[in-house]
Amino acid sequence: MALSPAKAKLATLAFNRFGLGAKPGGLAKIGKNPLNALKRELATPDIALIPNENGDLPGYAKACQEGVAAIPDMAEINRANELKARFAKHIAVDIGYVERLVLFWSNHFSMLYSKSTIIKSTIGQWERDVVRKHVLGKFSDMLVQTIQHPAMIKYLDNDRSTGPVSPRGVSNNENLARELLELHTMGLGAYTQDDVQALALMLTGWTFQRDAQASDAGQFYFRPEWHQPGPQTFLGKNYPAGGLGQATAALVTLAKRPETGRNIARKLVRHFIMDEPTDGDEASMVAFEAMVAQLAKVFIDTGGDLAKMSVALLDLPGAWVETPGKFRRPYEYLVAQMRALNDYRALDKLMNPEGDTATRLLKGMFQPTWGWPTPDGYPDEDLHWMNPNAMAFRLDAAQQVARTVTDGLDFDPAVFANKLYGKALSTTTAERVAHAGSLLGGLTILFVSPEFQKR
Amino acid sequence: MSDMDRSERELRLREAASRGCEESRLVLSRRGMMGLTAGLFSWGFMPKVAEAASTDPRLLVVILRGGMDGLSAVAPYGEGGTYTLARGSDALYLPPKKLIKLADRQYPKFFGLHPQFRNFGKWYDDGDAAIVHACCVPVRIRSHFEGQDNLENGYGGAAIGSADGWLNRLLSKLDKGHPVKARGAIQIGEAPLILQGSEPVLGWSASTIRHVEDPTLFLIRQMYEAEDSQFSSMLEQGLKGRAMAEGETQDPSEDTDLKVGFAGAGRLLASRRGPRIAALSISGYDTHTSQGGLEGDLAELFAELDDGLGYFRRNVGTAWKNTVVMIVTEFGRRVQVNGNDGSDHGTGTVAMLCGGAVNGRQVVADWPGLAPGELLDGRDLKATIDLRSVFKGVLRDHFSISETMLAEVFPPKDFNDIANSAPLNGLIKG
Repeated sequence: MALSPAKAKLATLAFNRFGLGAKPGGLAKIGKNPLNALKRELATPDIALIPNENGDLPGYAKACQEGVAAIPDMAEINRANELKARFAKHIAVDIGYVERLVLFWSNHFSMLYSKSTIIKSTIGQWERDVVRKHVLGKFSDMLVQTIQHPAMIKYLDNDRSTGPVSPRGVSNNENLARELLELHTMGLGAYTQDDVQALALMLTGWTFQRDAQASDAGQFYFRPEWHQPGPQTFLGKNYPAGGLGQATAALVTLAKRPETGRNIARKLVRHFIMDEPTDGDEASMVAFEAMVAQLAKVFIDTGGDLAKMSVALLDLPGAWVETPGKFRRPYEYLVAQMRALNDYRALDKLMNPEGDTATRLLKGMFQPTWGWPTPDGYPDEDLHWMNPNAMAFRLDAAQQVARTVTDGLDFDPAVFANKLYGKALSTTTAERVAHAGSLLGGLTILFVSPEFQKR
Repeated sequence: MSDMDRSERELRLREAASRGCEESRLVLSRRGMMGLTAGLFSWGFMPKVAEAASTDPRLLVVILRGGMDGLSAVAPYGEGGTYTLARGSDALYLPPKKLIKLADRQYPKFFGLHPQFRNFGKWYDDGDAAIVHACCVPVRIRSHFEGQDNLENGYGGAAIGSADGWLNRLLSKLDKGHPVKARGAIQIGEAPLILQGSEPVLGWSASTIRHVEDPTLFLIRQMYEAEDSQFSSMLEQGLKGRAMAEGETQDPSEDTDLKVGFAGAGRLLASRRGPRIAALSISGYDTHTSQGGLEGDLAELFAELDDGLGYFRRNVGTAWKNTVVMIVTEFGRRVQVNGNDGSDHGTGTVAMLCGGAVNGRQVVADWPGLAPGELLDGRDLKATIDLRSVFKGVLRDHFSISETMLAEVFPPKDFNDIANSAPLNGLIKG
């Protein structure tokens, strides 16, 4: 039985605002109670993990070794395999709320894969084994394991950071410590330059094994002789000398600071629900800040329990506002099209070895995976993504997807649109899809419709 | 987070990232979407400016990212045995008899152009192309990030916190009546730093992906009009910008993004009411491996570039006579070949100028020499000309920019810096 317009809209909201878009028939699956469906997804055991059935995804040791091997070809193969597995997982799940959380956290710890072979080889493994493993676990675990991963060590230049009075001498590099405080945890304003320096010194000696012949080739590695000896005062607390344990303890503390909770809560609200209101819009500002405070409280009360945060996000006052608050970012936008066309082997066709249409389109829309150059990650603000150039390009991109996937096929795009959106589709859009006169035209219209581009 | 914080962080990162260069095809991406949006919205309100051809100059800046080997682009074969010795007998060496010889009064029978630069070589002979050799940006630390930033921010030294580029600063300082000010600038592809800043800038992405056409396009425009005014106005602006860049009919031979980009730049600058400055960048010049000589990766890149310039020339049409194209890069390469038939990061390199407004058929240089004792740190071609001198020389004589304004567009580091970056004379005809 078809859902009423109101129910169809609510289910569509769940798919778009919190998930990765509907698959045909998906509406009926969650239409009765979309909120419960989202919560059920969160409660599904191992929902975030990617089963490595073909065995072509490397484990930690292999990915690391191949990241420092003399012949770097495997690094690129690893990256490509990881990317395809990531897409496959996006498509396999019913709604994709957990996938969206994975993408959020992966972007929170944004790294540019092309900076170095070790990052290229391990970034997918890091995402699978660290982000996915802890996406519904403890923030402190995700943080510590991310910072103790060769990809991040290399990306933020800690690999050659040595204590000035360590046996090796030279000097330390502040990059990792600074970004850790500013971006990964507390945010600007909550710490001083002395705190940055203290954390940087505690992190000296955190490096990775460059020797490709070593048994731990490419892996995270603590070098005591590079470590700055002695205690450090960080955020008003004393951290006694203790090798690897010293900075680890600092990270755990940092992960539970209230400032960290507020910083993360703000980012989550901004990512899922609405951009920060501009000056002058008093009512929206109050509503936005209230949501941030509500979510931050959950973080602080639970010591950074990400499963509880993820549930709390769904219960925020703005979570189910009917008017879409955001413009879909290019990556989500492409994935939504892949999911919609899942019945026609969309992924295989878009990522076939002869022409990787998916990667090309993502580049064209300026959101290649693991491709943001700076550690702040791809921006969330609509202002960044929505502009005349992008709006025109998306038409061509949508048509290219439709053409690549449905070439040689024939079906009625209006029936297809109905299976995807039901009565959530506006009459204006539905009529134009029906009047397109061709499958290609109908799908293109559907994919560029406001219903499909906003969430 | 303020813009200052953001760019400071970006610079820190870039500085850090530059220490290890393991990616041979390094591409920088940057954003300036706000300016872009504003720029396209203001398109419809451009004032009409008197249209005397000689007072309506055009500028295209082509940034070659990765550090282009100036000794391969323009080889100093006149050094004789020193040249042969410096470049090795095989990998990077270009036999003088294969080079396109560049006539020049100061350096007769001395410089030769890579044979792939067929168009450029012809323009040189016609007096529409010139070379500036042994030049570099002022920050000379062989870092892509620092070098590219410096090329685009126009500062005299490492500038922590620079959030704007010199082309945008130029736009912001021009008088309202200046034709360049009225028509503005366009970035092709992603917004490069050189065009970022307070001044609105147009944007267009070159792409070979097929466009949506009527009747589908018509239905989409109707749908947006009925459902979403923001989508509608943005799409209309986007289509308008694209139409100006791409013209009425697409040339089927424009089958790569690069060709589309150059052809589009030509059409945009030719358009009566289009922008007067365009910037585009091409990556891939970080030739650590298989750089080659007559053949190889770099020869292919040169061929593509020269071909692209040909597309630009055809499409810019009669506006060519008012046009300057500046082809620049962040640094040159080490003189000696490395272990992978490639070259590592160096210093001095070339700037290439072409266009009908260029005072061509000359190689501007204060040639430092290639003998081992003459190299910087025993490895790189020295840079005896600051790249800003090229920029300033072109802006002063092509756009009639006063030296006072030039000092604002390129803020000097100190007093000596003013002298070291004085505008080059005689780059523009007239």
